Amino acid sequence: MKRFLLRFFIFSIPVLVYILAGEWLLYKYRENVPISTVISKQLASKKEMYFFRSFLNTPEPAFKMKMMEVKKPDIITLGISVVLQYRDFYFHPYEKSFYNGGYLLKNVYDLDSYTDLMRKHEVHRPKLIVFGFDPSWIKKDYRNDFNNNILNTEGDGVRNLNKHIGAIQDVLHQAVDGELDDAAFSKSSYGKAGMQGNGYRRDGSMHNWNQIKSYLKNRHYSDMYQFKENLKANTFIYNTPMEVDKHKLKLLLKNLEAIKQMGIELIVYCPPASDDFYNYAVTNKGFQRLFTTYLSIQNQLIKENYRVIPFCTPKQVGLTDDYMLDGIHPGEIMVAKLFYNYMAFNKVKFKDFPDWDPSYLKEIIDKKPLCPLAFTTE
Amino acid sequence: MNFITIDYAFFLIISFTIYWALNKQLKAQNIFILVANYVFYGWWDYRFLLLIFVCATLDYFIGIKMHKADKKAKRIYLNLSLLLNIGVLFVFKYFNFFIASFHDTLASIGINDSLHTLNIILPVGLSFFTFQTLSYSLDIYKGKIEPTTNYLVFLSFTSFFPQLLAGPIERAAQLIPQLSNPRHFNYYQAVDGMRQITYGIFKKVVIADHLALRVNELFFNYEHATSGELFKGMIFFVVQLYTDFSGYSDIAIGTGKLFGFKLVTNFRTPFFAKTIPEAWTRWHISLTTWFRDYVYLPLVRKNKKSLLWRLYCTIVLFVLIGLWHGANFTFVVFGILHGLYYIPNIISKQSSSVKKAITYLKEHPFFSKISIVFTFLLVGLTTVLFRAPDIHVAFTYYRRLFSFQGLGVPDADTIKWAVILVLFFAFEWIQQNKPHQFEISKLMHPYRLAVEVGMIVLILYMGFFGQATFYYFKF
Repeated sequence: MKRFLLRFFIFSIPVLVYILAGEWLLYKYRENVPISTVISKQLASKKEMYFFRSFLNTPEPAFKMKMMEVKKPDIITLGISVVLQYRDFYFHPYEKSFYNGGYLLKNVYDLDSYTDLMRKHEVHRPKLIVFGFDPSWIKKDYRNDFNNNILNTEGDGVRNLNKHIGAIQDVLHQAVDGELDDAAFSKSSYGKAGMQGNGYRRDGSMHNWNQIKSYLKNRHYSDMYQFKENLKANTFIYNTPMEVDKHKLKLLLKNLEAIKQMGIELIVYCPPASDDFYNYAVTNKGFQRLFTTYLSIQNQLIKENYRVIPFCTPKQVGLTDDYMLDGIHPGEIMVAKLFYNYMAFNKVKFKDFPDWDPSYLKEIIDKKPLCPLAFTTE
Repeated sequence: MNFITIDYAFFLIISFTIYWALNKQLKAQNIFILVANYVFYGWWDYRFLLLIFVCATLDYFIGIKMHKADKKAKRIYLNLSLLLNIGVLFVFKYFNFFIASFHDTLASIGINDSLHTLNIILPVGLSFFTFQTLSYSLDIYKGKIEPTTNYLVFLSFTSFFPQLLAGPIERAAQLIPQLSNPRHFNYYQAVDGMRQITYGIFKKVVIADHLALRVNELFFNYEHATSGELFKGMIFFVVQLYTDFSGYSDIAIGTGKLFGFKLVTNFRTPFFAKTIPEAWTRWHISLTTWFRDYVYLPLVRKNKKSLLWRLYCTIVLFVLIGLWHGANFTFVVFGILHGLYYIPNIISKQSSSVKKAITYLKEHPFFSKISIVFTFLLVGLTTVLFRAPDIHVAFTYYRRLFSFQGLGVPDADTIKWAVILVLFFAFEWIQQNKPHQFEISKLMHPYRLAVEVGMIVLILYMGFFGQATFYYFKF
């Protein structure tokens, strides 16, 4: 037996070295900090810090749900990545009441479950919701449809040893391939991406340092995640069939109505697309089919007196594609302008936020920012 | 508990330590095995622990009663056991299939019924568990074995954790004596077990799970894939199935060895078989021998001399083997196809010219190699039915595959995996006559060490640790 144990120990050495080396790198890139710690640190910090992991998972629904539970924000955004550019100061002086819940919900089934939880007061019920309505909510077989992220929330990978194995492998692969760089953007942030400036801020919005960095270097728009190419090839979020799912559409409309019925003020935000992307997309038959229905729903919501920030492209509002992070994600300045213009033009007042001051936002917008993608590059 | 998890690694280390700390205390070791078995299964789904406990307990008492009973009562006890085991299997695995098929048949003739399917899930490993207990009752009935009177041993036999979820299906005559007698730690057996576990993990995480990603994508987009891509999907899937399932068996058998048990061999490099019958003697051996001994031979004996009867029995055998895998028409067609593949072998038993032709092909230096490839392709074709969710998908897959449209040039990833698979099969070819393919004890020490460490490095570096379950868990 002793001989066997000795042999087992000797053969365990490469495995242990591998695990320890990987864990050390995960520690170095602050990947293995649990989301509960990240939340408490973000809430306590006066300095901005970002959170996004590159190797272990970033369980957005769990993270944002927990943050909502602790912070109890009265103003929230809901939607996928297209709402992540909403910042707290858009709602000055109610910054502390705001939280960007982008990516808390990943599909219409999540929305249905979350609305139900709000109805039953099982989650904090906000007073104002900005809901990002993009075509993914009604597309048949959207890639994020496979899971209900509210009922079946993905756990924190930090606490799952099996997930560490995959993460260790990834980080060591990158180390061997020489892809790990030490240049940390923010040493107080969490996760490798977060430390490099790509991650969730304290207000839940996303700091897209990769795109900003690229813009500062090249000084022109680029579709970093190749949405146009993906649409051409029917890959990524544009998988076939490019059709409207009637059941999902019905569910979406039912839930928007339910939110209104709860007395929550609702702004439906239809995110813009870059002119470069849109000019190609309208020539694509699948996109046309999907988008025509999408626009008709937007118009239907307007008719039904929903507050809708309508779809546009930068050109239509006097901007350029330089204000877009990529084909389908606007930068913060463009979002702020769309938001401000809609509010100012329609003279919107929020009943629960009487002191909301749009002129504060206007002032910030009018200051020439360093980069058209974000208010500060922090 | 999935073998490819940290949970299992800890479980194995802790179990191994406690188990051998109880060395020379047979009863304590067996109690520990039973606890380990139930922890292992309960980790997966504790709700079904009661089911396997109750079924095993009933089979235990039925076995004892059957052994003491006269011929007529014996039959009654056997039927009781069959009813219990097949009944459980039917309720959990086949009820919904039959109801849905019946419903569809009625609907096709314009009758709307109000039959409802059951909202239940299939307990993992149920088919393996019931077949093990069935063989116990059948062997007692036939007088091949005497029932064990040791309840603890019997419970451990029915739930022995290394092979509980996906086999090999052990016979009582093989496993119960091992559980009843003291086990002694054997260094060489334990080292061999560790090697077999390592190779099983390698097959699962380095080959099967990587191929699974590609296969899943192809089966997801089969309507848009070219013939060349579908051919690749078919080949990748058959290799995935083999490396996944034989990987599981290797881990199970290797684990058994660590605890001083010898479990039956379940795979013997089936892709090097020269004929379909030979392939079936090398693939999932514990299942095929089970069906041979308890279904085919008793059935054939009823009319040994009739060729037609043999053909009929063969088709029935393979349809049952197909259905054992799942309640779906795809498995029925899978069984029929294999039954048809088997016909030359049946005929050869009565026709010397057919027999000669088969022997010639098997022994000819060139044609024997061609036979290997041909057999592999024939098996590969039927595994499309294994992977397809329904018969419509399978037929569409075949139709598009044989349209020979868009054979094209393979992409870099396909070439990379083709090279990896060639290397893998070259290794298996070299090792094909060994008890398992990572049996390298005869290699000189430095080479052996290099191969062992190399295998560990390959697993760590190339392994896909996406926590995918083993394919056969669904059966």
